[in-house]
Amino acid sequence: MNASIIIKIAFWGILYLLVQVLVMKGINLGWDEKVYMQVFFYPIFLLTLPFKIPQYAILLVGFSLGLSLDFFYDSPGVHSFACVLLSYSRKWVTILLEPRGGYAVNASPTYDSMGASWFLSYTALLLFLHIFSYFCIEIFTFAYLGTILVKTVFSFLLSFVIIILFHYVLSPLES
Amino acid sequence: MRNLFYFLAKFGNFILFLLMEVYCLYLVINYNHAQKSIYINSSNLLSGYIYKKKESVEKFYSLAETADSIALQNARLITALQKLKSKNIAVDSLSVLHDSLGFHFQSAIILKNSIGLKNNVLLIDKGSKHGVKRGMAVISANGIVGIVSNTSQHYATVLSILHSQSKVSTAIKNKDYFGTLQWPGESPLYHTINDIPKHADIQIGDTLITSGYSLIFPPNLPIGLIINKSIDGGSNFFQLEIKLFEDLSKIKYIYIVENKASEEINTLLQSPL
Repeated sequence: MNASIIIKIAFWGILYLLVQVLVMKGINLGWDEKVYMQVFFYPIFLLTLPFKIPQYAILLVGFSLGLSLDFFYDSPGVHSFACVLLSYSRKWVTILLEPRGGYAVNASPTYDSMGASWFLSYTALLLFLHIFSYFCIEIFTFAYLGTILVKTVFSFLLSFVIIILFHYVLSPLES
Repeated sequence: MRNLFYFLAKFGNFILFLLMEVYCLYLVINYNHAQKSIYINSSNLLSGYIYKKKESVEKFYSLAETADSIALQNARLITALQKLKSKNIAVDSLSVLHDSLGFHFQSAIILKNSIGLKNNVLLIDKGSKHGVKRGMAVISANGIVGIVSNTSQHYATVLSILHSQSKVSTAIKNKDYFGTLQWPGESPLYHTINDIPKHADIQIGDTLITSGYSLIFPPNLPIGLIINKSIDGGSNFFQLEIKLFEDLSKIKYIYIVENKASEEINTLLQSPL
């Protein structure tokens, strides 16, 4: 890991953060005057960090991204919790989805590098986990399990589509 | 020593993960006890600045709509003024101005608003420099918005009525019953009141107003309509569902209300009997 990749990651991290709080945060869809859909755009940043970055660094990046989001959402700890969980589970999902013959040395968890089916299942698993843990911590009581699940499923579908479309057009952390 | 290194190499990441998650949970739980002030909040200078920039761009695009709503509000005020004038009563007469005696209004703009969270907090563009203090009421043209929770020099955060800890003292118009307005956390338009006794004569369609008992909100501000009432088995209280007049997902211009008399009254209430 050299200085240029750190600067690159910091730059894209701030960009994703701004897109999330300035654009995506305003999208709140629902019906019956209740909000069921929020867009979680920033997880794509943690998802596409290259494989060669060590686990502890990914955890730290996730934690700082989460804390910065919490500054903007006035929700101390909620985004951070979900981000750290996502950063940690990344490794396990990678192992779970390991292709025959293992990963290439310089591979990145991206569409171009790993192919469509691998990238879609990888993103879907981790994004769902992220959104589910986010709503669990935000609502903080399992008495509202129904609400948690409904919000999770709808936010997941919307975020998933947006993330995949975005990634298909532009994969910034490639190479 | 070697064992320690071995242990760290093997479990270091997991320990780091656990430590961070515990810290996050600590933040979450600490925050849920809202009596402690919110210490990661958007009075924070940097995020306040960024939101202000974003707001100034957005404001430009909604100028026409804003002008309309202000014109409407002006019309209403002029009507009220005309009514007052036509009554031909001396302006210092208590019978006319009694309702607003001691309340001081100041306009402000919402820089950041949310409705989708469980605990929503607003950010407004007036702060301690403009005389805004913790505990002041925030109202809009059609209803109530929240209570100021923290101030910095140029900004203030407002605990929205869309917050799980929000409790506002309210009354039913033309009837003397009073109750506490709470937010069940689902739709931004619907609130509940659970502490009006079941013998009370309440009709669906009654108007809910502020009671003024809390000394925070001025009395007799319309809040919403009662759209549903029910009684849980064995309970002595109505469960009332309220539909607000103000759609909190749309407002931009608000008024901060200072009760000039609240300090004096609070001193009186706290003095020993």
